[in-house]
Amino acid sequence: MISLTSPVETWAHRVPAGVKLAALSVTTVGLLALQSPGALALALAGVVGLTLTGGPSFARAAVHALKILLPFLLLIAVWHGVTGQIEAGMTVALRLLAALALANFVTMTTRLSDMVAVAAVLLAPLRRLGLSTRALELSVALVVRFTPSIARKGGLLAEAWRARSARRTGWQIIMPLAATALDDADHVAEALRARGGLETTEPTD
Amino acid sequence: MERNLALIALFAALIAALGLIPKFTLAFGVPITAQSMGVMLCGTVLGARRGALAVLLFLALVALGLPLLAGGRGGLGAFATPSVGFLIGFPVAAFVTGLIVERWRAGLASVAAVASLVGGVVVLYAFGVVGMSLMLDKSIPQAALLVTAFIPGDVIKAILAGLITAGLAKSRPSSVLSRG
Amino acid sequence: MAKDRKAALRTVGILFQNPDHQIIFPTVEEEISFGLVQLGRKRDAAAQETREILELFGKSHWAGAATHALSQGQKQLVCLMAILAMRPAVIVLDEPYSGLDIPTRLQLMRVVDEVEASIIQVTHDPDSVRHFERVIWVDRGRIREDGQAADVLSQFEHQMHNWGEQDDLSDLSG
Repeated sequence: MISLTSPVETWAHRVPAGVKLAALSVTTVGLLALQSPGALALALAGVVGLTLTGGPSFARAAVHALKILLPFLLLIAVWHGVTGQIEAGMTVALRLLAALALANFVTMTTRLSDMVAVAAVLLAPLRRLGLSTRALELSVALVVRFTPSIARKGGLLAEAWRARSARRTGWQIIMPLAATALDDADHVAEALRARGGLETTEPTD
Repeated sequence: MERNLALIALFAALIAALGLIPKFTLAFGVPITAQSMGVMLCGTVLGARRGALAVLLFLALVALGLPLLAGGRGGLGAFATPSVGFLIGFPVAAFVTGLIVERWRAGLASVAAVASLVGGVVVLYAFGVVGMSLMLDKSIPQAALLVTAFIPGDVIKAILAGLITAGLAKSRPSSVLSRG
Repeated sequence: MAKDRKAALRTVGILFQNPDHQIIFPTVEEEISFGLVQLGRKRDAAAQETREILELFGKSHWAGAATHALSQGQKQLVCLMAILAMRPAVIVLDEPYSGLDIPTRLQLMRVVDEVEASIIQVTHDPDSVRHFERVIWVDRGRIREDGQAADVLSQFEHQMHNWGEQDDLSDLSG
């Protein structure tokens, strides 16, 4: 399963994940506090500059991730254009863009394994509540292992549907898909027990 | 214990897989994504606690940088959009849905449908609307107005979730943990 | 595009390799009547035709049976019935007998032979097509031989044995 980390190596890839996440948190709070479009435009310019340090293909991928905001930006443009509150509209739009671009920058420059390590550190206090880090690592591995196979079966069922119907795939295929998830879970549980239960060290993948 | 972990992980994978399959059609030919139905099913099939954990695991993986949201989206940026309220509401929705199915011992199809409605629509949209109002700097009624178009589709999803859950209980009776 | 697909569905039926990836509905009668309803039949007419095809195969008692409780061979038969109910002119079978034990395979083969539609079968197994009218051997995307079953299959088996002596199992497809 491919993660969203950029294959292009940047200076930011070498910064520890914890540092980036802390900086992101602080900066995002700061963004929420800013009220004027001018200040936010500067902040956005800063994030853009940051993104450009990754090089052209990195920046292109970053822009692609911003496309998800387009319907909202359109909505803001129309809403605030009609009500005449241009300044307020710009504030919202710029803040959204800056926050998203910055968060995305951290995702693109941090490897999955480093993120998991930070998560493990953050969740360490929860060990008292009975949550072992091994259970978490195993869960992550299981999700990564099974998502493609369930998706593949979904695709095959959709094909089987379309082999008998001219219409778009129906909701009915979700039931055999969920049944598969239940069956796979039983098999995994059996495999775990056969290896001595949850006290084992390695994930099943 | 192993069974709980396996079920939680597999249902998190199910939510992710539902985001990878192209849009489904509802009763009247309206295309939808099925991911929120996955959230409802976590509650109706696994119950409140396990269902919520499955959804939390899914969200954790999205935050860590996996493109598991419908459309191949993910990463921390997914929590920086106006829809963030819905994401935060997902595990709560699963919990509420599961709670209703666990406590209300009537016919499973109807209970699951109502539970999905209360959890997957009412509670979820409450979180979603609040989140949207904060991110877009709008009042609650204004934000609510923006999402009304999606409500009918999600109501139908809730009813379908009820049917699917009842079907699963028939074919895999020991696996529907919400009715242990 | 939708119009072409509708016409295609009336003419060609496809039986996939793995019935677990093909069966969508929880009961046998729902699975069989699905295609009929999609072709435009009303519920009652579809139910009637479903009963008829179950009777034709002597499986009327399967109507309300749970699909997931059936054996692999039984599931394949349900898939086949579901396609036959739609009365296609041509049926494409994609490795339909893989994973089935010999008695089940022979039983299903007998069923397939008696079907009225033209059959196109995709397979690795020469025995399952030895009695077919025409065999086309496709190798690496190209047609290598096309003709009578006896001729093509003997050449095919000869080549397969040659390759079996070699060791291309170690080559990765990447």
